[in-house]
Amino acid sequence: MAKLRTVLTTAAGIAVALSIGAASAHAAAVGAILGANRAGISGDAPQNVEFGSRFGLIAGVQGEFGIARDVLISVQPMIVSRGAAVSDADSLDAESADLVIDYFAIPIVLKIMAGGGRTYVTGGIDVAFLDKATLSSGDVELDATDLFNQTDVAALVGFGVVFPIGRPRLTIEARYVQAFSSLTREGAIPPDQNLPDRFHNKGLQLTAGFLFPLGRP
Amino acid sequence: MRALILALGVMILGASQVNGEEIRRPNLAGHTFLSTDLVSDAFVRTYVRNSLGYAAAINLEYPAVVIDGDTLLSLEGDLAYATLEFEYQHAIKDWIALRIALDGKVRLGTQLSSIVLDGVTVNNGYDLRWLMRVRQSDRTMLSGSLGLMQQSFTRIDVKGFVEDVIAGAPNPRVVDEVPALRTYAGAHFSWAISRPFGFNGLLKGSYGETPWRDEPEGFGYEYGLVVDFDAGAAWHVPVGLALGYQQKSSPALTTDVAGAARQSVLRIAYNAQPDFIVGIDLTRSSSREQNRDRDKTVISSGGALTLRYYF
Repeated sequence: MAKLRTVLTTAAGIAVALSIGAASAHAAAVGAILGANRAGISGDAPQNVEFGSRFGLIAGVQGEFGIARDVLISVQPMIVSRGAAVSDADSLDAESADLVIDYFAIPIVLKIMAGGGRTYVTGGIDVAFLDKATLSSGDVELDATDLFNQTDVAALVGFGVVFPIGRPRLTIEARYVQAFSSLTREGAIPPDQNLPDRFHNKGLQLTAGFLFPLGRP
Repeated sequence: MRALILALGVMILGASQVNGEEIRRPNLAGHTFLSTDLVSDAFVRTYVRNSLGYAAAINLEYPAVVIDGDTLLSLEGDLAYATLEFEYQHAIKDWIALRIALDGKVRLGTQLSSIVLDGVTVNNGYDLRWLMRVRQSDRTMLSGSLGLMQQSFTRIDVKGFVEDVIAGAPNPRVVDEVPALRTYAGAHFSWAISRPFGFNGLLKGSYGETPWRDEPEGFGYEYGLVVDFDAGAAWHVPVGLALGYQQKSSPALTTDVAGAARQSVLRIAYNAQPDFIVGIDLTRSSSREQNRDRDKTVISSGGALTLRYYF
């Protein structure tokens, strides 16, 4: 609930800020994002552990404003579910546990329009704040929040297509996100059982976005 | 002889046709640059590149291998290197481009002594980079880049494994895979000195995980210089030459390194086409390696075939 309140507050803040700046900016719009994240973990794995991918949800809001011709900055506060499918490397079982790491993320994205405004390429930084992490297998669920760093910083690159539906715009975007900060929180568990240092979130995201232009048409 | 003359005639004819077509390769002030794989230029262009290379370090001296009091080997050995690279850069606008490069490299001993002592190292990964034009004049171009590089270093260390087994070390591993993720920023400078001559320079700083387990994270640098010569502009011969030098702090394919890695290249390319280059690179690499078996500079020489097409 607190997370939802944070997203709504941020959305209202973005809308107000963009409304004020809409007259002078090249273009400004606000909207929402919904999508799926094919999440995984890259880097080292703890001994006898293998990581696979898992699907998580993405939901958030977005606001964008133009800074030059065909160039926009987009801020997209969102709730995103990351993690991985965890399996025993020595076992033949395909999957033995599900690691879910939920974040409140704020991607700050440079959006470069191409193809006459019908397509775009994005690049930017995704700063995410840990909400909770759980490791579950069958009916057993463990709280693993304390094992992971509170902040996760990632680079992102994506490609999107714009569909005008009247004045509003619908966007479909595929995005690759690779964290470069380590997931592991130092000292969380004894050193001999610690998670590896080289341990990063990654994800391939597919999102649908809705953007409503601000200001006069 | 007749065939050679005919081939030269076709090449020269090809060169003269370039004059009438739009040059898609990087060019400034009448100079068409001969881009190299060693030092990436400052031009925001769409291109695809593929390169395949081989090199060898021969007659490396190895100390005697003594395990549990028994001398097993005391020989010279050779190392072989192979590389495969693929790169695509897409110019989204005339001032910004996105590039992805995929590469695979392998270093392996080709004789018993070098197989046992140096093992096999395989390096593969990707490099994702934004290139942005910062400033352009009639003869110069300056661009900046920001990138993310993910590499994996897989090492097969037979000797280390045997020693660990004999010493009773916990979890001895014959294969170790080290992932390394780095971010970097670079400055790329291209200068058309005259119609036949051009210059490219690169300065890059990086931070992130290293290929070595005992050094988790660290800063790195890389710089490179290339002078290229377009014989087409000077003598109407469709050949380009480039001589380049690169130095970087973190060579990839060694287990222990005590110094920077240096590489020089001489590229000879057929450049008659306005959008295509096929070139042969003659390379020489050196890096100082300091470990329990060796403390000397390892020098390798080789060649690469490279193809680059500009859209």
